[in-house]
Parts: sequence; structure tokens; C-alpha cells
Amino acid sequence: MSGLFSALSRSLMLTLFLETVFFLLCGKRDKKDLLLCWLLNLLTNPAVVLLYWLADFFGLGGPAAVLLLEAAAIAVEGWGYRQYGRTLMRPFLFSLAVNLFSYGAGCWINGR
Amino acid sequence: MKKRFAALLAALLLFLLPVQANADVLVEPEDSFYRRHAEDCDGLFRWYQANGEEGYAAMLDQPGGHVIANIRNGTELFMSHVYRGSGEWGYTEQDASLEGIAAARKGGLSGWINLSGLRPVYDSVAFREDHAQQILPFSGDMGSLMQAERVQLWKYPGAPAQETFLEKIDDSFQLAGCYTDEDGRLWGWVGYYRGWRDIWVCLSDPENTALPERIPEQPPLYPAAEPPVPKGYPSFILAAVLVALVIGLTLFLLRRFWQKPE
Repeated sequence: MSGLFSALSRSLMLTLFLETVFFLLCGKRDKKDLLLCWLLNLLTNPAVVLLYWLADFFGLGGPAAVLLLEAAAIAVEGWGYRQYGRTLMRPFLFSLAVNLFSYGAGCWINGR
Repeated sequence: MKKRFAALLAALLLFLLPVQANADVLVEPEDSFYRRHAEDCDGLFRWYQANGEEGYAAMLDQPGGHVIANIRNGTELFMSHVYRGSGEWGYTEQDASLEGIAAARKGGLSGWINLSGLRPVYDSVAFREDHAQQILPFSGDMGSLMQAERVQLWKYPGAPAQETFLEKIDDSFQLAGCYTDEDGRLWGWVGYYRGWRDIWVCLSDPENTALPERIPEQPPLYPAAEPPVPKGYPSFILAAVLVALVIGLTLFLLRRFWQKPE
């Protein structure tokens, strides 16, 4: 069980770090948008990790589950950026890119 | 701005490519504990039988972790890797619906079992350990093998016959050692050949599938008992409550402090 809490905290910390890096690499400097980015990740990341654990527990884990959950996270974050973002011109594209970046970098860091 | 964004997207898509390539080459457990402790793990590639004192062996999500399944004594399990840290732990992948496995979840199951709760199935590794002094380098003639139409393969000299054989042997076939049994039959040990690992052939009678069995006596298994289904993850609900609280708090902050821009 400690594995679940460890996965939740590690995944959240890593995602917040990577998405901040991506945010800055895109040339964004608006502090409120960066805070929004963190909040939206707080909204989606623990839920995605928990739901994946649940799916895996019932033998439903795998690439399809990852794709489905990531797509849902991208949609929710895209909605959040569109609703509350101040300097994000294409909120859904930004959400897709930032999530691809953090997922890819996360895979690479974890060696898979 | 657009160009920078497009360049970033292209870079991260390229960045994903080598990940896929690696996945095709490396045959390593898809396990978070293994990934964190790969340097303390080795390939094992041996069969074991569950042999716990309670009548079943416990499979954990990680060494020293949570019990995810109990396996009835006598159930055979293939251990692909071993972790040597606090004790020796074998990594195995199983189907939770198989006979003798009691798991809280369905489908594929992977985990770690302390080797003290297992008994190795007698195999070539055990045979080579038992006969280390009698296994000698091979320098003879392999004519009988080369001429054989069908060479029977054995787990070890005297093992029960299996339907495993080679149709024809080519020049890449090499013997890593040889052993002469009590009846004077010469056996050859093959480290690796065409996907076969750690196998034996009988040089004196390569096609015979009915050679006498000599199965060494093994220490007895503890009596088997019906394994109980583990209780699953009792703190899962706690994690779900915490995640729900975080989501609620985040939504509150968003609605309270963020305004939709004009």
C-alpha cells in the first residue's frame, strides 16, 4: 500500500516539475497561469494515478487504460486553461503538448 | 512563438521514439520495484514449487511489501529474476485465475516471493551443482549427434523424458561439458543452442526417448493447505478519500480565486 502513496506523491512532484519546465520553455511568464498549471495538475494527476491503480488491481491496466486516462486529463486541463488561462492562446493544444512532454519525460526518467 | 511551440512538440515526439525501441530489445520485468533495484537483481530463469510452512507461499507486490496472492504448496512457478537485498526474492508473473492461486485481483499477476518459501524443481542447475566434479570439458567426437535425425533433449541426465527434441544439428552446436552416468552413457551439456538454454543430450544414444530415469530425492514439501484470499488493499479507500479532498480543494480554489478572462 505504501507503494500507492509513494506513486501518488512521486508522480505529482515529477509532473509539477516537468510541466513547470515546459511552461517556462514555451516562453510563458505569467505567474497566475503557472499557478493555474499547478492547480490543474493537482486536479488531474492524483486522480489519474489512483484510477490506473484501480484498473490495474482489476487486471485492466495497460496501454489502453493509460491512453484513456491521459486523454481525460488532457481534456480536463484543456478546459481549465480555456476557462481561467490569461496568456494561453490555444489551451487544448497547450494541454496536449505539456502532457505529452511530462508523460514522455516521466517514461524516460523511469527507464521505460 | 508558434515556431517555438512547434519545435518543442517535434522534439518531444522524437524524444518518445527511443523509449519504444528500448522496450522491444530489453526483456525485463515491467515492475516498479525491479526498475528501482535493477542493479541488485539478476536473471534466474528457474522453476520452483510453492513451499510455505503454512501450506502456501505468499506473493508480495515488492520485497517486504503487501501480500497480493497466496499460492498453494506444490504449485509450480517460473522465476525469471531474483533480488538479493534483505533476503532472496524471486520475481514471477502468473495468471491469477490458475488453480492453486488465491488473489484479491483478477487477470495478470506479478510479484515477489521469498525464496525460503519455495523449493527449486530439480533441474540442470541443481544437477550441475550436485555433479560439479564429474562434469568435464568435452573434446570428443559429435558424429552420433550430427547423424541423428532427431536428438532428444533432457533437462538433466536421468530426467523424465519430455517432447523436446532437435530435428537437425548444425555446426554452431557446441557442448560446454560432458558427464558419464552409472551405466556408462555419455551425456553432453549444452549451454545455449537455437533458443534452448541449459539442456542435455545423450551422446551415447541421442535418439532414444526412453532412457532410465534417475530423479534425485528432494526434501519433502510442507503439506499443502487451501490458500486464503488476501484482503486486498485496505488503505485504498483512504487514498481515494485523500484524492477526492485534493480535487475538492482545488476546485474551490479555482472558483474562488480565478475569474474567466474577459
